[in-house]
Amino acid sequence: MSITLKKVSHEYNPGTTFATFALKNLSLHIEDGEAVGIIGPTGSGKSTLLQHINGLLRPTEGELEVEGIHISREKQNLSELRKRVGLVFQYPEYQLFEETVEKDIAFGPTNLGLPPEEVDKRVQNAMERMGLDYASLHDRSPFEISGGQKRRVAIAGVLAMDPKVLMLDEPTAGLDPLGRRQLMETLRSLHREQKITLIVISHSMEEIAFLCERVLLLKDGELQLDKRVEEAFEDVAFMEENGMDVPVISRVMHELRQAGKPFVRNYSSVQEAAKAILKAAGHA
Amino acid sequence: MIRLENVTFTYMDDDFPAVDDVTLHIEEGSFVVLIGHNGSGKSTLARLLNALLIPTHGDVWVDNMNTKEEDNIWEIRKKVGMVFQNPDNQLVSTVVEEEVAFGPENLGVEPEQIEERITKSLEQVGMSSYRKHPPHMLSGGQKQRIAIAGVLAMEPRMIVFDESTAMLDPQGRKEVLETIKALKKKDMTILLITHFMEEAVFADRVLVMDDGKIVMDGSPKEIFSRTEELHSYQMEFPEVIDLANTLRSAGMNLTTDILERDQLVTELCRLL
Amino acid sequence: MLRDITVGQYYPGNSILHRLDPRTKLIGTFLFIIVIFMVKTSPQYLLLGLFVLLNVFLSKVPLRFIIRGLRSIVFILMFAFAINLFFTPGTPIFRLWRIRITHEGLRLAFTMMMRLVLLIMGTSLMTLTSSPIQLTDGIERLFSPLKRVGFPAHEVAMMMSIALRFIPTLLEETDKIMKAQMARGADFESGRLLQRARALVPLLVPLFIASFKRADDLANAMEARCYRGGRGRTRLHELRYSSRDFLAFLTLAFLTAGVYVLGII
Repeated sequence: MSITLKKVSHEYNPGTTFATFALKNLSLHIEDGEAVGIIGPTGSGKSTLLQHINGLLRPTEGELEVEGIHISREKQNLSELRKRVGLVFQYPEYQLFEETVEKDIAFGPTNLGLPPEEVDKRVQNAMERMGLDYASLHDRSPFEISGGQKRRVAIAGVLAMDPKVLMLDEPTAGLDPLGRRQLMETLRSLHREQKITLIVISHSMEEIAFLCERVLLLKDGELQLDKRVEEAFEDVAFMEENGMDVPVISRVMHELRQAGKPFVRNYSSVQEAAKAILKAAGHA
Repeated sequence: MIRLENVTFTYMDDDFPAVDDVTLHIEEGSFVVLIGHNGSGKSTLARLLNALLIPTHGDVWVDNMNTKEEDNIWEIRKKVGMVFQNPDNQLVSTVVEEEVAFGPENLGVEPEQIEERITKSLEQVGMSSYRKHPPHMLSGGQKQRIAIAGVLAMEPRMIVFDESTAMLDPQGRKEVLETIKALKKKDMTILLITHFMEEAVFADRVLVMDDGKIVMDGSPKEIFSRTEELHSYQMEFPEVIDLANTLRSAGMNLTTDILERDQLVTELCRLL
Repeated sequence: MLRDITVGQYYPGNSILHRLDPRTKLIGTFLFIIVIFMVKTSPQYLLLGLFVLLNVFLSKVPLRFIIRGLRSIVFILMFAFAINLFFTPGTPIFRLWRIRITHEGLRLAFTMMMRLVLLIMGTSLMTLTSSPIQLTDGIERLFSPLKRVGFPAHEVAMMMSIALRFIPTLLEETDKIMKAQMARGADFESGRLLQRARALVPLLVPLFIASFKRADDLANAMEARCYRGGRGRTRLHELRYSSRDFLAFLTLAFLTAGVYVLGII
């Protein structure tokens, strides 16, 4: 199973003077088990793209095939799609509403019509996958736990639907440094160890470099770049032209190379960069 | 400018104080960055500075006025302005100029003078051409700049930024930071609360909070050289400093002055 | 659909109507509504119609913009027209099976429709040419004499303007939460009434919580900016009547006199 977009366009307010293209003629293919980062300036169509992949929005032109389900302009029942593709919105803790953490996470699987025992199993499993302790948290109110935990509960609520594809819109926005790093690590293990397909929107190139293998750059609804992460951060000038930055470590490497230092890559992680620099300095 | 003496604050239903016996002096014209994990008491501390909260124990002095005294409150809030986290939740008006006018109107400033203040403050944040626009149509960074203009129009001596960059995209964050740096040049006293460690390197002084206490206090250089300690308070390093520290501990002879990217690059060019 | 409603929308501009004191426009519109319900004859309607058109011209708001506002109430207009047309007793002029149209009915139907159209156009003109802030200011000032008997004129006006300010924010929020719950398999569209009502819980609870948070944030932000109610507050744009406003009242007086005269002859 995989995700394929064929010449997908989405126009807001078509036929009026306010008509604007949120997506323009977008074609792309995402294989099972990939981790894809979506970057681009605010208003470039990133969220609109995610909402198409899970059927919340329909293309005004073109078509998609997501996990074997065909999506076009016509109305159809998309509950099957929602099971397979989970979408976590920005600041998802604002969608919590139940009295207890357990009930809130159960909302999705219950909507799928699963038997109660299966729902219970899914809830426990999702909490475990998100690093939440079932015993101490399941009967707490979701409004009384810490901000980082709320975020995890909200993501667990989507994971409990057991999707093959997990899409997240700026998952770490507003978290503190530790919360940010821990969530990144959890998401990475979801992908690496449980083989879930990840599609992540982020403004932080460091996070993209940490989490993803492939990066898509959107600008004004058009796909500007579709590359492996390491390659994308090689072309600093191109990224800048499109209003994007590269991870700060990649930029350090880039500037060292421009100064004639013998490096072959713009490594983005501190460890890789340190290794390369130490080697060049003869400290290895 | 501001003195806190053994300040403790406990929220009504809580057993533990959110701010615990803090003594602190913030000097006129300084640029202070306050970091700390969520729930460490940063926002509570900020709200104590302009009498939005009154200490349970101890005293907060703003220019020798105690925030405890009811009569001082408005004078204190005029002196210590505050910009909050969510740009949507702090704008009261549907037109930019009315938004900026809100503070001066509350202070009873004469209309002609309000006009002047609007012009001046919008200029300072680079938003003059948006005077007649509705704020909700602007970008996050622009909204925050309008909020800053709204505070500037009250002619404060100090501005507290309570995670004002947390909800912005990189572009918006850059805009707000540039504005803050420009204000610093004009000798505004600034307290910036943030989760972005990169923002701390511009400060004159960095404070780290944990469990309601100020646990670290020093120049960015000092703070970021105390690796173990900073980690123990759940803080991370800006990656540039992290890289420099890693290289140094592996035996490379880097100076300890490195805070920003260009410094690291220059230093590495020298050594390689 | 919602976007088509021009009542309550502001059309920015700098026409003479935009520059009128909002109090003038509020009182003027109120008087105009009274006049509308006084008129009976076609010449009177013609006069009022011309008056509205003159104002549209003066406001520089495109006529089609106002017409578009009317379009959203076409159904109500038709309904009122039909009710009056078919159910008014009197001299029949047309009869088909059970359906009977009377002379009086036809007349009343037209009158009602004219009234509604004039009413909508008149009030739209007021809101189109005054920003929400001006209107709330106007209301505050008009009702401020009542402060003496304890009526919180300033607070009411402040609440109105904040409500107006937060409408777009809350609409956006609703849309977002709805989508987030739909992504978790929530269904807001099918089912019986009771099921549908229950389906709203996952939408309404987060919306309430978010609104309380916003209200709390806003209160803090307002207090931090020295807000302490209406006392001692100045205004950027102090309301002041000018010669324009007297001219406007004079015109209205002439209009009323004209309607009165036309009613006698």
